[in-house]
Amino acid sequence: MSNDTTTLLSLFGLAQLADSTLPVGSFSFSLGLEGAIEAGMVGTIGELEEYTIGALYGAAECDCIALLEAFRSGESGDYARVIDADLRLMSYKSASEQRSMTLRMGHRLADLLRSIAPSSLSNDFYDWIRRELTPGSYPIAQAIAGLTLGVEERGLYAAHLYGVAQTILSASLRLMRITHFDTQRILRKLAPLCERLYNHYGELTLEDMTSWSPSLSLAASLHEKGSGRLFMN
Amino acid sequence: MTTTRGKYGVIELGFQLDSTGRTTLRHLHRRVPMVVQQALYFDEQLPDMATVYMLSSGGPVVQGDRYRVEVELGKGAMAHISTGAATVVASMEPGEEAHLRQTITLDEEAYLEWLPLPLIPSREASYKATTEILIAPSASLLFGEVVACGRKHHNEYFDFRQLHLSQMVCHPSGRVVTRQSLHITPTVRRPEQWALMGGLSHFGSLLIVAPPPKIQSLYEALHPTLSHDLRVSVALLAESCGAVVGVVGDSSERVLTTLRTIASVARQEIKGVGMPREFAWR
Repeated sequence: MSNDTTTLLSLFGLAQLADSTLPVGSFSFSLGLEGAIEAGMVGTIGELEEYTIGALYGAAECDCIALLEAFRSGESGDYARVIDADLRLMSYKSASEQRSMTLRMGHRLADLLRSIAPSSLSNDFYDWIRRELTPGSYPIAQAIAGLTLGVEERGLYAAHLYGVAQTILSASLRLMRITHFDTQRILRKLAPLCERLYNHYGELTLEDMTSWSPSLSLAASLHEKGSGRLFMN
Repeated sequence: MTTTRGKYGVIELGFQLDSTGRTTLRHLHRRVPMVVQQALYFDEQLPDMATVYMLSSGGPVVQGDRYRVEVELGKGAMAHISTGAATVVASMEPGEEAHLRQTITLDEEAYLEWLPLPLIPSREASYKATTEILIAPSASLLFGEVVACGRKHHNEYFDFRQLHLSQMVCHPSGRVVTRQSLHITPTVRRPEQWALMGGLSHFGSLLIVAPPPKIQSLYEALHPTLSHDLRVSVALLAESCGAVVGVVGDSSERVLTTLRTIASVARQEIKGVGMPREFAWR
């Protein structure tokens, strides 16, 4: 029997962060899927899978770069760079519902953290948000949570991408004719992609962030201007 | 890392209002192959606005080329800047690339329309363009760009090696209004993916920055579009400081026409008049 309790603690923290019942409100969002379905952009399981793949790439090219930058900077005690990553990430968020989502979830996670795992870092991060020193986006809050709960970098990366896919697929259960088996099949299929995304984008810097996903931008835009309001984005 | 020494082109433009309210081109510095001849005044809707076409006498952008463009608009000045033709980026050897660095500065109440003709990256081209924009809170900017999938008559479809276009918009206070960045490496992620081009061939964007009340009413006037050959998205930036329009279409004509129509709506909101029809030969 292994006595590596650090690994078990880390895995437990990771499971808690990736859990869909984590009370940060992810169930309120569809990452644009509601608009895409309403407009007829997504209607089949194949199209849903394509949509989810696009969202994962989009996260890897933007949010995940900020997440890793904040995590690595936090590990070395460089909190000015954590804030810089947060500000930089928000400057790339063009759609207003995207901004609302990441801030709402980030603030909730920061609040939750100081309650369940109080530490100088989790308290400070909440205080920075309250004093408007940093926006408090969700990927940065996740980085702080990873540091606080002892989650290792690759696990944190996986948790973020899993959360993106999970948000879309959970929403799809309420928006289209699809079963839990279908969504779990898609999730399983996407695991190797997450590995590739980490290997390719994991060493990029804030200068390499990109915000270009025309079809996803259109889906977000259709939702903001549309009538579908089961979800907040 | 580029090793080839290519062309080094420069354009510096400084616009100022004269005592009659007309915008004049007070400062012009150019270094071949980039050429600007003079300011023109033919826009019947804004007759005091200076129109300038940036030309290149050196053929396509080739490996090792570096270009620098600096544009400054004084208080209340108005300018429309475009290119005389599409910008073709030629094929390059492995490891080679070309760069464009642009800085745009708008003083209080200045107004700039920046609507160049398409960028066409050829097979194996690698091109990077960075634009830094410093804009006073009362000034307005329409910054457009259109990119083709390649030279269609050569059957090129996203066969370039790398394309990196970025814009950063700041207020003089240092506050970042927005960053926009497009970074495509087709060998890593194919642009025809559903989430990107979804099978279409040309894309364009229009970044509109203006005082919040004008942006708010403009955003309400614009609507996303979805059809088999055209997709238009609209986003409202934080605190209504700007709007971003994305256009994906099946031809440069369609994307250019759509962007110009939206730019005309934006001009109507900002200056109270629309744009004239584009010349038939452009």
